[in-house]
Amino acid sequence: MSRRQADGPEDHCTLGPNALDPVIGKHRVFGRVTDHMSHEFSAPSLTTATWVVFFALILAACGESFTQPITENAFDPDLFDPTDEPGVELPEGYFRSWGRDRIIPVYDPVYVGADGVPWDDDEVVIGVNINGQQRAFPVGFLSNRELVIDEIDDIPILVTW
Amino acid sequence: MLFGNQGDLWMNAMTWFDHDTGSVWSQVTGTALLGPLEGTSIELLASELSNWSDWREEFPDTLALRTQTASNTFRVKDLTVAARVNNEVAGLEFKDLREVGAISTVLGGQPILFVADPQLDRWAVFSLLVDGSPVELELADRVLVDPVSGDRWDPSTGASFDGRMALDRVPTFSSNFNNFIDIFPDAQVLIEPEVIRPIPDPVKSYIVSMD
Repeated sequence: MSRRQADGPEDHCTLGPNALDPVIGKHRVFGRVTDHMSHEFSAPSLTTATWVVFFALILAACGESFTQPITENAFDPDLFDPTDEPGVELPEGYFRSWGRDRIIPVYDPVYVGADGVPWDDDEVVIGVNINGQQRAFPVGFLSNRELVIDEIDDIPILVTW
Repeated sequence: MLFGNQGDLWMNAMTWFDHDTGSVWSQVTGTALLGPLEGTSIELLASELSNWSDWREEFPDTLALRTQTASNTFRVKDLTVAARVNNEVAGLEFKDLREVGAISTVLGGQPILFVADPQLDRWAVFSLLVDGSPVELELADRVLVDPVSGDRWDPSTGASFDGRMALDRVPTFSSNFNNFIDIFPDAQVLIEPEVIRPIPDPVKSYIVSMD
């Protein structure tokens, strides 16, 4: 189809870093993962300046994440994972990556009133309005944590970016 | 059912696992791709993208996820906006929707209306069944009007100005156009984009219930 030609036929199978990282800001959270950090730090080409920049990114990511609880080891490591099954046939366009909850969802979100956040007026939020109760989730934050798990009026919801 | 981050990608988008069975789910479809629950879907709920000032003005009692910083370069105008009814999907680029103001279609057997506020980066999709009867609505001066009865509704919230029932919101989500047609090749594209262009940051957002 002509409207798809711009990307070429391998659009969703391309394995370059940009194609595999559809969520804005994921790289900043990726910097917090311990074994990846060790790898990056041991690279001989890193200069002092690079170290400073890289470290600043880590601090920025952690500073933002600390405003919501980080639930470590929330899942059972022995939980069945169909992608580990011998001979599993993965769907077309499926790419295995770094593993479960390496970017940890917000399992226990904390809220404040509208005056309690310092967001700019033009901050883009996902707005949810269920049974007269409203919640706002800033896209910039969700770009890092990707999932918020919650309930509103006993209705379970999952907010994702 | 509780979900976590599977960490893998499908169709350039994240995947989830559920803590009960370990099945792997797609973010873009809300459907399990692998595992005991393969083929099972969870419900897409109505939500909206809004600027913080608009949302807060409309809902002063809103709660806000406690975060210190939230800046990003994302803009609503770069998105394709989409609706899903009875497993059928329709969408168009937000900039096209804003240009026409409102556009209707029949999706999954239900008449629906996409509408954008011409002055704000806000959009919504409503059912055109009011009290069980189909209506045709026109957008004029930032108000949705039934030209037959003269009744008026707010195009952002669906609230009636004349004591009628509010318009029901239809579950929506957003994507970029290239991802949208990859993932939903059978979707109705209400207005074809004039220019095909690479989009640097595929994005999507929607809300699903988990029961």
